[in-house]
Amino acid sequence: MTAFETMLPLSMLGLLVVILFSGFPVAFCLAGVGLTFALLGGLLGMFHPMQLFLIVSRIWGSIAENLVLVAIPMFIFMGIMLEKSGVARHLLEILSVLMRRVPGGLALAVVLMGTIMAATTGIVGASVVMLALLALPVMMERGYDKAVAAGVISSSGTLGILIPPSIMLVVMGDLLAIPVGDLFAGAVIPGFLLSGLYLVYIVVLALLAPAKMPKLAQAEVDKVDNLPLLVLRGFLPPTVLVVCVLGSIIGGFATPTEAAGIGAFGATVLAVFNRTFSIGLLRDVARGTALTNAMIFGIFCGATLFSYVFRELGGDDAIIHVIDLLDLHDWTLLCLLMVIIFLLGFFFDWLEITLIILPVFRPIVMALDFGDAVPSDKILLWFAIAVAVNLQTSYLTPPFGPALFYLRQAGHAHLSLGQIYRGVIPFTLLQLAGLVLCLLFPALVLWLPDYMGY
Amino acid sequence: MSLLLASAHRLKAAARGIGTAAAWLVVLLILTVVLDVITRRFVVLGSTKLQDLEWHFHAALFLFSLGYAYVEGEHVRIDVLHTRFGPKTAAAIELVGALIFLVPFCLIVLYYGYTFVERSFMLDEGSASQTGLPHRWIIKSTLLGGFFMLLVAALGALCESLAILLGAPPPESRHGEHEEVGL
Amino acid sequence: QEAKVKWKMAGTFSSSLPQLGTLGKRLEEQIAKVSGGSIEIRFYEPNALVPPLESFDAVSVGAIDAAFSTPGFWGGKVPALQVFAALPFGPPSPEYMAWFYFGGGQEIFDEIYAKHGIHSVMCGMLAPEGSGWFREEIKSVDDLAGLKLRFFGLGAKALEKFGVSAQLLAAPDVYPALDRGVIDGLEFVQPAIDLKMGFWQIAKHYYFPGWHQQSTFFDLMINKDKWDALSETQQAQIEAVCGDNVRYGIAEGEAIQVPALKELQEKGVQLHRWSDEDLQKLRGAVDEVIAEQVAADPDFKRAYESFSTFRTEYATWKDLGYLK
Ligand code: NA
Ligand code: NA
Repeated sequence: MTAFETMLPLSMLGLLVVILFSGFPVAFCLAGVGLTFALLGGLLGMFHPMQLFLIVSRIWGSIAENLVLVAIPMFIFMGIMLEKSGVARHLLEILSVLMRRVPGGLALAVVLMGTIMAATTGIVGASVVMLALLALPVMMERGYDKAVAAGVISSSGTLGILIPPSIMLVVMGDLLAIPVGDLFAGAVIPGFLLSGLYLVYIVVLALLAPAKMPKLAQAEVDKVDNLPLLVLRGFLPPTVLVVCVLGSIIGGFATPTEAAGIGAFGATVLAVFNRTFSIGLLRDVARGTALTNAMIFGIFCGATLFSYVFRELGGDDAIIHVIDLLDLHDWTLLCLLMVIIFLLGFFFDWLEITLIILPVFRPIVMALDFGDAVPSDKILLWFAIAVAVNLQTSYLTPPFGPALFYLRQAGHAHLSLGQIYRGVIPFTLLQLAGLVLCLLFPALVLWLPDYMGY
Repeated sequence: MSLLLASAHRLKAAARGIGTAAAWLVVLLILTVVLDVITRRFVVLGSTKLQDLEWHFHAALFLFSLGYAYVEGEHVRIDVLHTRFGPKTAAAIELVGALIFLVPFCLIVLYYGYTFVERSFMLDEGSASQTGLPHRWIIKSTLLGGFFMLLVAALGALCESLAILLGAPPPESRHGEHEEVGL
Repeated sequence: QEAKVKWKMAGTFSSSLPQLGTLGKRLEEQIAKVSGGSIEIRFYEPNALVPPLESFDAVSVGAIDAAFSTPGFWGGKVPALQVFAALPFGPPSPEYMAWFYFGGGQEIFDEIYAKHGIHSVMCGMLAPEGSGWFREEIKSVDDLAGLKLRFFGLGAKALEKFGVSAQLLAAPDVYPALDRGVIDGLEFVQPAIDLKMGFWQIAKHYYFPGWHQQSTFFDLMINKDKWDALSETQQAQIEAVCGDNVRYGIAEGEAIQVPALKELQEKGVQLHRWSDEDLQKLRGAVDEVIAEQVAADPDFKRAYESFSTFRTEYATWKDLGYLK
């Protein structure tokens, strides 16, 4: 490849960053920069106008006709319904009273909620929005540091892409020809490991800097009388809901996607029992859902256009070319791949990154030699999970971290994007720590699939 | 100027009207899922059709609310710098962005989308799974409807930002209520 | 000296999947060698350029040059093309090829694709499929009533006649759905591929024969203008490589199932075969479904009648020439 051929697609990334900071909506910046380069490619004879047809194909085939994405509006609906009907509020109030002696108790509760949600869905947009709707107002009221709250919510909300069921692991299974069950089993321990790292970090931070996560004032606690009744009122309804959602999946009544619908319906029923339901409430929840959902899908539409033009202009080849130039082997190649995947995460979503990296490096990675560290027939599985842990980070890295955008939109009354960017940095570092652990101790990935007899 | 503001108002109201109507689709979506989950244990209603219907509802929902979300200012922005801009600078950015990014995006999707829907109509395309819903062109045409409403919303934003640049008072910003600390 | 051709070809299955993807990848490698570099057809993973089910339109309008797929994918758009992919109770590959290349199939095939601005070359063949993975043993087809199965195409329509509820699940939901019993079974491809997909981890009963899908043709769809612009030599090179790909697919498909079946059995999978009586019942349902299709679509009728006429006549030779 000539230097120009390498630089042209890579300069798309540079222009995107500049344009994003103009403050024009992210979705349309992605589309606009993509179209600008399509035009440029057309002038250079690298792009034919008819190729633009594929923008429509991609918006339709990958986004509109995608049955798994249907879970997003239903989870958002559930979140808004729980928030507006006051159910969420009761729960978190009671949680903060109960956990008042635990350092960072509320943040810990959010991580646990995120982990539970991760076991029901793999849809990051849905879980981040829901956690933001439910937990952010309470965290703000309790005087939590904004950056900390932002980091906790966005990182816990992205666990779903790693902890099974996960669409990302299914797609990776296809691309690498690894059984989905192996990947699901392999991702469980790393997923909970990350969740554990978040918990430890929160406790340590709460002990070191208590001002960032203030405990509930004794005066507030004293106001509470008849705790058991409060617990019943606050805990029972959401517990029933969680049991319905998880139970319908585990009991074999619903798929994970359908469980989102069960949850949304259940949240509405709770609002009826809570005597807060009205047609006006339903209308407000539906409108709120439509708006947040449109924001998420707007980004999907813009991003699919952007990555398509990037690929047509030879972006994938440029990246592979750069890796080839370095001519590395075994551990160094593996580390380089991890670094590249991390860097790509600044700009692309997991699907595009897996399409760039996995098909090309599948045969190469299979032939690597890690001595006794990893048996040769398990290298691909171990690699895949390491990539998956790495890719979860792509949701969190500025400037183009989708989880950060979802949080920004759902929590716009409380958080600025600057606060979110700062808050997520420690969690990104925790992610990297988790990745390094998986690489250093392959058993974290390989033990469970082996135990399950795969 | 008043003509510009009046047009902006009308265009935005149109996008908002369609969006608020489409918002109810989420309720239909949830009911469809619940119906499918409950009934398929007992009777064969045709799950493939219901599951097709789910993404049909969702496609129409998100497409028709793209423009609605734009007029309501719900499309997320990296406003780290944006909040420091004055109203005129912000209006200029909106004007340029809508003109060179958003309007061409809509026009391209509409132009190629027309071919896309027309092909489906000519074939009277049905579900690829044989047991699903027929007449795919109906749902595919929401692509045109949705992006047309986004175009309408974009034209509304164009008119409004042009009016602001010409001296009209800027509307209240709904994202401006928190203090911005930057990076 | 002919112009050098550089095409982009959309895959509809990942290149790592045996046969489904590897045959497309093989086409990419072989055409470069056979044409001495005058034709480059680059394989793109599914979704890299275009979502798999959108590749028909994309090739047709010329947004991509080519796609590697099976005609059976387009049942929702052009029902007749299903006749050229795999038919329930359809023929084994020699008979299928005899009809396609010498029995009038190809002419109809070319005509149908030409209406959509596509020239297509048969470019691969898959071995018969398994007819499903089930959580519980199925004693007879009558046990199928009320089951929830993930099944597609004409086979799904036939199964509906037994009271099966066909499910359309999102890809990531399939594994948990089968694991937890939201669905009772599913159909995917053949032992060598299903082994890689890992269905054996959650369902232990694997049924044969693949009554719904015997031999399956794969094809290389090419935008017609691009095809017409090739030199005769280049066209012949593509046809030769594709013809060889069909040969390769048949041989490979027959060879890779046995090791896969052994491995599946070691993993505790029970292999079952439908009884003749069950197959007879299924055939009755299939005949009904096909009669419906024939009545609904003139092109389907034409293609199917061409095939069944050939099949009836061919039976003489099949009975006479082959050992039973
Ligand atoms: Na998950
Ligand atoms: Na990112």
